[in-house]
Amino acid sequence: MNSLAATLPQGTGSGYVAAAYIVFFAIVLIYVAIMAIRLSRVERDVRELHARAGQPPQQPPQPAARPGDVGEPQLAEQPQLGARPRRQDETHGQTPEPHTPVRERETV
Amino acid sequence: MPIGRGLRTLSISTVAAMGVALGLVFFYAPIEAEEGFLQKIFYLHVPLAIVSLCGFVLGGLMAIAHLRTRDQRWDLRSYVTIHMSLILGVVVLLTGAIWARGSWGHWWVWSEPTLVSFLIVMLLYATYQPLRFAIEDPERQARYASVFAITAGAFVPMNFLAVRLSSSYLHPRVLGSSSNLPPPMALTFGVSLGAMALLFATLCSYELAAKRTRILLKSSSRILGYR
Amino acid sequence: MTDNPPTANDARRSSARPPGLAATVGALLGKDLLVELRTLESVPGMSLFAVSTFVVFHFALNQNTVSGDEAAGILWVTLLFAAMLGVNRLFVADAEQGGFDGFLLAPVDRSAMLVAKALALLAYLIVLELVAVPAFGLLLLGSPLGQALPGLLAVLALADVGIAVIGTLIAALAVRTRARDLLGPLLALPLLVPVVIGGARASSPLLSIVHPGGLQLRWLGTLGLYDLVFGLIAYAVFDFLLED
Repeated sequence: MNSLAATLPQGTGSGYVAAAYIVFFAIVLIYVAIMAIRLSRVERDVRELHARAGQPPQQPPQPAARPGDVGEPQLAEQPQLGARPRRQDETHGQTPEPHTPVRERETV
Repeated sequence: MPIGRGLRTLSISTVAAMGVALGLVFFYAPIEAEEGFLQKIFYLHVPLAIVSLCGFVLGGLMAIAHLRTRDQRWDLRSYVTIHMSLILGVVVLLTGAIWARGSWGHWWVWSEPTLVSFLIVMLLYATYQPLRFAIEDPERQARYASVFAITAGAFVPMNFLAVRLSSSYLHPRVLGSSSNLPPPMALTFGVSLGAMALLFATLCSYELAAKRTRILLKSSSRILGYR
Repeated sequence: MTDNPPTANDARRSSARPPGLAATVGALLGKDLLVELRTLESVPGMSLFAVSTFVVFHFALNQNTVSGDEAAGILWVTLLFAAMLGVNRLFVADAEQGGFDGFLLAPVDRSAMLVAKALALLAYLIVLELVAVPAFGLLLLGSPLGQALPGLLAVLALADVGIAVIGTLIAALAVRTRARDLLGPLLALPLLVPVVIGGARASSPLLSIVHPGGLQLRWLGTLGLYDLVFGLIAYAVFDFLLED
């Protein structure tokens, strides 16, 4: 790092360059962190499914609903394998009613 | 295709390419005469912009595939590509603003046509997710989103043309162009571009894997009769 | 309507040829224009909005006359936003009263609806401009409108086609979503930026007192290219919006 610092010209925008690269890496790292959170949530769900499927559980089965849960996967839609999830990630609120194939209510 | 195949290879190559690119940017590429050290942002901002725009157009092409084959997987790919391009686009705008601030003292300049076009494209694609979430029926949502993605994908080059035409009256290109680069800079730029493209591919693959896992999980829950 | 029970000949004749594209477009366009003429839902509102906006601009800018870039800007922004009002209302009646279903059951080319609605919107825009442009000349424009008019008409014509095409496509996209009145303009405004660029840059020298200039072909070319590209795309994708 010392050699890098030594090559930086004094006061000719090095601060801005650093800021730009930091912004870039920060956003990438934020994305990685979000992915890590989603991964742990998936792992938890898989473990729960595994336990419920009647296999000898590796750990005591997790309780079904936890107060800290934000947005469990929405399962009210019709069974369509490969159907697109409506929400991009679980942190959005979920619409409670199942969608129907008929024309939906018009909102003015 | 199993979920997440090739992720490890992609990730490692991305990290390697990024490392090489950074090394080239800071230790190999010469300091530019006019702008000085500040010009180094060019190797971050412009490749990201190019990758992001190509991502939007690619999302449109995938949407065409979706409408032609009615395969929902194409819609998933289109959605992920556009979403990732939006995220990278935010970085493009932020780094562009930082560059403008360093170069001109203002956080925003209208005289840089690429940046301006980018803002318009981002404003358009920012409506993509609200549009999707405003339609509840998944099949119709996917169809309408694909129509939008195709229209918006065609809009990207059209918009660039129009903005460039309009601003050529005001100022010459300010924040540097990617043509007429001396070889060391061109090499650095090319490697940076490759690294950013790999990053984009990797992030999209991760996102796709996450989404497909979640879909599989939900349908497994349903099949097993739970919830 | 015959009084006799239908014969085999009648059946054969009626199922012989579905109406062609032009006939379908004509029928749809006639229906829409007739409805608009009777209900006066869109066009008076759009025109009134434009004139009110000019008044607002007078107070907002605190100027008695404008010319050049300013004039072009005010004119095009006002036209654009007034067009949004028309876009919002374009498919509402069809969505709410089952017009889509009836159309889908008919054995006609579905792109006919795109063409018919776009032509209807074009008609509304033309009437809008018949009111708004003279109002602009009266209320705000510094230079005489007469000498700008031929060039201005050319620019308006090309721009209107672009607005009509994109407006129709976005209206169809937005009408069956929630918050359609919000989503329509939100989608359409970025898409119409090239039209604003072409229109305003082309009009500015026409409306200028200090440096009056002629009509520049490059902006007409841009507008024409835009119309062509998005006309083709709208024609290609419109079917997919009507499917259910």
